[in-house]
Amino acid sequence: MTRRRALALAATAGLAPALARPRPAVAITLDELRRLEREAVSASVAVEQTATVALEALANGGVLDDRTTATVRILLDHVKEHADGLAQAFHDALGEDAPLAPKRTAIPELAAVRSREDALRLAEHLLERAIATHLHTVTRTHKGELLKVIAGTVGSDAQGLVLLRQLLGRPPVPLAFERGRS
Amino acid sequence: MLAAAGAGGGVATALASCGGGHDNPEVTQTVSPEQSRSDAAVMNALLDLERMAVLAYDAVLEHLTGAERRLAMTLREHEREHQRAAERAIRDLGAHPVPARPDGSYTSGFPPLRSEREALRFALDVENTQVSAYGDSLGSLVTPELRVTLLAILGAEAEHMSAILGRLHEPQAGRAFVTGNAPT
Repeated sequence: MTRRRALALAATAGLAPALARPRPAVAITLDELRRLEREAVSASVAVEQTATVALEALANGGVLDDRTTATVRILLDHVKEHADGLAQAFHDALGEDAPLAPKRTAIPELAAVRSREDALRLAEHLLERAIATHLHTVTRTHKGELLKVIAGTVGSDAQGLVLLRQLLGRPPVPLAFERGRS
Repeated sequence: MLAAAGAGGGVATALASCGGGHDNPEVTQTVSPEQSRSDAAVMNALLDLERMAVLAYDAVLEHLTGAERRLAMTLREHEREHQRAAERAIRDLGAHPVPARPDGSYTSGFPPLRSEREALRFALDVENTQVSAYGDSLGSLVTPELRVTLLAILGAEAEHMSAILGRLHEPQAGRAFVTGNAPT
């Protein structure tokens, strides 16, 4: 039996990880629990900040046609709002300042962009990574206001993926669960 | 006992005798039977919504042809997958999925559909309602892993909205925060 066949059978039997199952309880200190929460929320802010910096560079990079530039600018406006909203929620919920946005030089993938397709694939990767990060974050925090901002952000990032897939000539909604990609 | 409110969800129960100091007790995250029942009730409500969505797409499909029909068929299959995921989640919580109501109790509330545009607009309403329901439910769930599943479904429903808006020739990503509260 091939691995692919085994996975297909597992999926049919409901054994695939489409639905995350509860983890066994593990003892951990309260400080550690809070540290993990802080790190996870901080990572959510950071991925949206990184997307903001990178999408701005892509929009101004001279490799996109007018239509694609217009779409990337819409996504840029959105991820900037996500970064600001999450940073504010981070501060309000955890009493600390959010991490600072990275410089362009801290995003090495930008240097490899040579074409419209490269730019679109990088934008897609950034949004997928953001969604995967946010999905991890909600396992670490149960603070209502943070969850509300994260939910709205994931919905928006997912819609951004639809626009990018269309521009790349791919099916807009390929899967029933949007988990992003690390 | 000490509860770590907010961090991770579940109940972080202090096990002071097992390690950690007085100010930094060792805790273990557990979900109580009452919380499991509460999570199951939330998931059952969402399951009911998914059943409604599948029936809504059955109605929508009668008015669509070509690419719009193919899209709606894909989205209906996604709703079925969400339905199955909700049923599995409820069983994993040690509860039972509520039986489906008669189809008529869902479809009696559907609007009359006279054209392709009305059908797509109705599908958009359904998706919008789902995004709102999943978003509102996220904070109610105590089981952290269930929040992941809910968010992954919310993301897919938001994508459905965007794809339908495209077929309606309307902006596909009009808002920076997709909450399901925007008028459709």
